[in-house]
Amino acid sequence: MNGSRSADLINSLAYDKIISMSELTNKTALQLNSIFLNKEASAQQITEAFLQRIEQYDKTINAFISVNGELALKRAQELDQKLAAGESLGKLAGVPIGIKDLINLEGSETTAGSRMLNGYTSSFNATITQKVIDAGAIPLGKLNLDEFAMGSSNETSAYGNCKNPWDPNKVPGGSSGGSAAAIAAKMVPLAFGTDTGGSIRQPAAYCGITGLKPTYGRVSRYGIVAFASSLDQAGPMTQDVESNALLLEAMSGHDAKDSTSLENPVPNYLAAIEQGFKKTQSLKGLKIGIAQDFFVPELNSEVKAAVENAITKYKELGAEIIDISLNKIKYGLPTYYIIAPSEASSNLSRYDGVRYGLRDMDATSLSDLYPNSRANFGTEVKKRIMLGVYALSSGYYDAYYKKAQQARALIAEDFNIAFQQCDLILSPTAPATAFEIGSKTDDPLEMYLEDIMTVTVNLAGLPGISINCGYDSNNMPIGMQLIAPALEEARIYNAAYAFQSTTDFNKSPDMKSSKAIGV
Amino acid sequence: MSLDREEVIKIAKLANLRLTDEEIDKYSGDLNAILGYVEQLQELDTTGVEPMIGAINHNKELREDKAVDSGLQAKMLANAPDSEGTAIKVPQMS
Repeated sequence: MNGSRSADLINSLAYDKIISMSELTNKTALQLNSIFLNKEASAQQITEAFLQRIEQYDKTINAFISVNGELALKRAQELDQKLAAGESLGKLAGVPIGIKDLINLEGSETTAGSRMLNGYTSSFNATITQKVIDAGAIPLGKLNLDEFAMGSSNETSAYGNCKNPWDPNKVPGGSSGGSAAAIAAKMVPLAFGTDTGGSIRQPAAYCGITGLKPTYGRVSRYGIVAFASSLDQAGPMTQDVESNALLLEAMSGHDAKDSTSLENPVPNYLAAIEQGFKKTQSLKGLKIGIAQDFFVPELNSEVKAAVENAITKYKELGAEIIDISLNKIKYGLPTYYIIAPSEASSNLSRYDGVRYGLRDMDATSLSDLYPNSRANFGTEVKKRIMLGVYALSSGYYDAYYKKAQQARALIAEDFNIAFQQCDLILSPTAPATAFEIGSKTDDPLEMYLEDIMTVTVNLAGLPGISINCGYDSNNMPIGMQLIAPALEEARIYNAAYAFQSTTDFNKSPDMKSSKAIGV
Repeated sequence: MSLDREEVIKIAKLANLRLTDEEIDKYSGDLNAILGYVEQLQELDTTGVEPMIGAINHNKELREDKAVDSGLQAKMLANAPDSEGTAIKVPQMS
């Protein structure tokens, strides 16, 4: 179709209401979809509004590694034409999305936050990318992350720190820090994250947004750079629960290209909310388990108070609160720090400079080419590869890897027993709120403790969400986590919606304030 | 269990990583700290516990192992640092 014909078609759309760009970027994904379908704004206007917002704020925040405005506007134009032609459109039609930069988007570079993949251009879409494009979403660009998703602060990214929009002196969390910061700063209404030990939920908590790690296997991993394959899962990151439910539905489903993806039918998660709390305005009959095992000594007192207030709120909403025990979860972190690096050491052996990424072009033999090319890995990545290689090496396998797999079985069993008594488990998402950039880089264990409340959920393969439940005395967001049995994401969404829609804890930072601009 | 410099060098070699002296020192310290931390797993009684290899039990049949044309050969070759015809080029083995 040539330019003038497409322009005619768009001009023929009746945009009777004029919505300003800042109004558009204030809307949720769900609202933007209906604004587009009702022809209150074109997909191009929506896309331009978010691109302009990125232009305005991302110099400070650094949430994006790359922005592909041209490709986005082209896709938006196609959607406008389809709408004008009366074609049927998907559930995400007209809604921009940001892609964590270890998920392939055809025609864009995929860096995984590492120098190692410098110059690599995706030749195909990840299954989840293709699914959301088919549903009408508009990818705007690739989001910053810790290198190969290994980190809890975005500080290991080879493309510079992403900053927390609530306070740019603080980290956005990690590894999906770019995704969480972009949502909080309203630079995109939808984003993909990935979560191996907490990488969606902890940054969601630090940036005051909604982030869900689905049940292992709910979402295809095809086309996503692998970190620890038995733990990795991509999930939706949004400001509100309903948009999150909308995105999960679009991402989910069996994929012949990922043998670990589940064949179970994908529920309509929004309908579950509609028929659930929206209708009844009560959580009567829901049993929420509280395990003191999550309330560790390291837990910040303001976080603890906010989570206790949330428990009280759930009681008011009609839920029954039950004390449960999860006494094996204290072994979660040591188990994770054997299993995840072991799997990573195997997955990352593919980065050898042969087929893609950086190669030492001066190497005169293969035996030099491998280690010289792999010198492009950052410090944290090399450390985890070393840890994994050691744990898997002959003589140590039983003491480390096998022992960790047995511990993993006991942790999963702990959850199974708990879920015989309750429907959901509520905990803090992280021990504290976002910390200052550079404050946790000396002690290797200090950073790992960031994942203490989230890793067990990955080990057991369960779904978990982080939603905001308060603000500390520095006005930094506080997250709480809701965990459900496998494939019960709808239950999580209904309870999360109930909290979010009856409280005032889902705010966005004032980007115009001097604090957020970082002067 | 603790690692000395020699062992760190050995692991690096197994991992196809070349470390500077500074890195060897740093990794010796860090790896020992992490290994010390994971040591607490030893207090957990796992006698007779079946190791859990994945998050979900899959008893699915694998799909047929059949070659299919992805149609992506040219794009994939374009990502290779060096190629000739339809082959990726590397220096000789030694």
